[in-house]
Amino acid sequence: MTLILLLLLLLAILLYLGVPVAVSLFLSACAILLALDIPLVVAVQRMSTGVNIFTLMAIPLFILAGELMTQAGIARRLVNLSESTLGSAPGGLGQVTILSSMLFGAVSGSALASASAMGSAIGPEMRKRGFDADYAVNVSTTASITGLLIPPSHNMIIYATAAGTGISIGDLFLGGVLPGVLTGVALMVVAGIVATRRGYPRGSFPGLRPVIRAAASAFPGILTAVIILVGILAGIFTPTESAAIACAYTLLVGAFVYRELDRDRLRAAFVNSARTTIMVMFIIATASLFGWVLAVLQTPAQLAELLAPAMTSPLLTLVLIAVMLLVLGTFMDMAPLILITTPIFLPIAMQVGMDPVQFGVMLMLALGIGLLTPPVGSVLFVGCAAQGITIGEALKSIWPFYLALLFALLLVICVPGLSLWLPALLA
Amino acid sequence: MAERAISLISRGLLLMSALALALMMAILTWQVFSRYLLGDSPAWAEQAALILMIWMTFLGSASGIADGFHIRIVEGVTSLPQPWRSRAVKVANLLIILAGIMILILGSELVGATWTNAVPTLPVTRGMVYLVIPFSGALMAAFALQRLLRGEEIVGSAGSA
Repeated sequence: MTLILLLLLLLAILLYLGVPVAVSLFLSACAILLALDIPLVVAVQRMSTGVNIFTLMAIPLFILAGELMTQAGIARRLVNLSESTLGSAPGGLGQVTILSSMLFGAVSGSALASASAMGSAIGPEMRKRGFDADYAVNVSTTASITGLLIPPSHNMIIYATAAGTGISIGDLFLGGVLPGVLTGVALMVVAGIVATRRGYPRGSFPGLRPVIRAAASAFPGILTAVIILVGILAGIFTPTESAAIACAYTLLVGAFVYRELDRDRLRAAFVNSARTTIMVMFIIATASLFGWVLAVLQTPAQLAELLAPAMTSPLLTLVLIAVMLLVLGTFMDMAPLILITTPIFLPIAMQVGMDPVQFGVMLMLALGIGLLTPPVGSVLFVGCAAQGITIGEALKSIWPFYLALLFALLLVICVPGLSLWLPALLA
Repeated sequence: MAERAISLISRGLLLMSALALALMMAILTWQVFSRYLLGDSPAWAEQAALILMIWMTFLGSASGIADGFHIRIVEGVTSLPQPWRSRAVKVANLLIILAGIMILILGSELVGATWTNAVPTLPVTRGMVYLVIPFSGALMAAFALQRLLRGEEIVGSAGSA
């Protein structure tokens, strides 16, 4: 127990000093290896085995597919489709932003990419029509979280790796669909209420023809998710292969259908995704060492003992886990938290009867909310930067949107069917 | 001079990583096509793509120290008053140098231990694949040293999600 606390304390100090997360995980884990008299070479051994996993190859490729589609101008097409269908609803462009983000989630699993793409694609138009900047930030950042749930989602692959073998990525992807849609709908309700109270304008319905035209233009992009899901579920290709096919497909659509992928954008797509991949993979390498040290220290068992009084009530246990995830999420990024918390919390959740697929969905949503909360909330920061307001200004009015997300999280915890019905139906 | 060289090296490493990513995509797409069109998938494909990913991860990680794109928490340090702020940055850079040197030494040990372990389907050994680890550690230490000498803030990204 003392060593666990020492490990966490060291990690906290290193993180506070601004040492990169991956390096902090490495150094704090090494200190404990020294204390345990375990040869230090184990550290690099664990790091190398941590990234020497076939399934992990899906991560860079899903990131690349999303980046290729973004560079090919998919955001604008999704916004057009959303505006022609939902622009006349209460909340107008607010609803458009949320629907666009959900559709964007079917192309890219990145909440950051979604928040910045939607912020720059719809933000200026919202301001022109009299929407306030804080509303634009609230809507675009909270809605981007749906992209973590709606497949494809590279964070779910990280979870599947952290959980060990036995979780089907196809099931996980399917499991995220309904909760992702539910989260979007909950946000739409809030966005409509807030917009009506603030007197924001609605658009007018343009008629069926523009809707069909916009849908036809956005369809090839949205098809990415369909190809991946059908490919995996029908056993045509593995998740890793599906990611590669998605890249090849988005490359073709970007170059020959949308015709916006020129040399510069292509290069940007590859360099940007390489950078994101490196950030994630370096953390996966060191977090796998860190997780191994946690396991050696028998952290899950220790925590289970600590939680034992609460574990008589499964619901209470799950809510407690969710609260811990939310707290951790306020000061750390998603990928390292998935890798560190899964081996600790998943066994406890399973002990009280939770399905690993449902846990994965809960994890995505809880840690996704963490991306929106200071002191470390990357998606919120990107959204604020896109509209040129401070985090404080955005926080003043974001709480109804937080409530919608927490409501969705609670539903995901209490209603297993939300995550499990679709995978069971298509099994 | 040293600054120019380092920025060139780190840029080169990032471009190599991007190229490795492109190759990974090409190899795995080829694997699917050859399985369905030619009825036979190359045994080496997945293993080669995996090695590319490992190289990309470690080469790029070094470049991330130079360019400062690794995920880190900046809010702690930036809330400190001077001179504590510059001191904290110095300590952080020293710690990155320490980590780089450890990865160099321990990585070399790992390379030695796995030098003769064959990689299935490919004419290379594990040790050769893992050579990238000590190499990356050395570069990390060098890049962080450069930052320390210039008294520069560590910059970094807030997230990857």
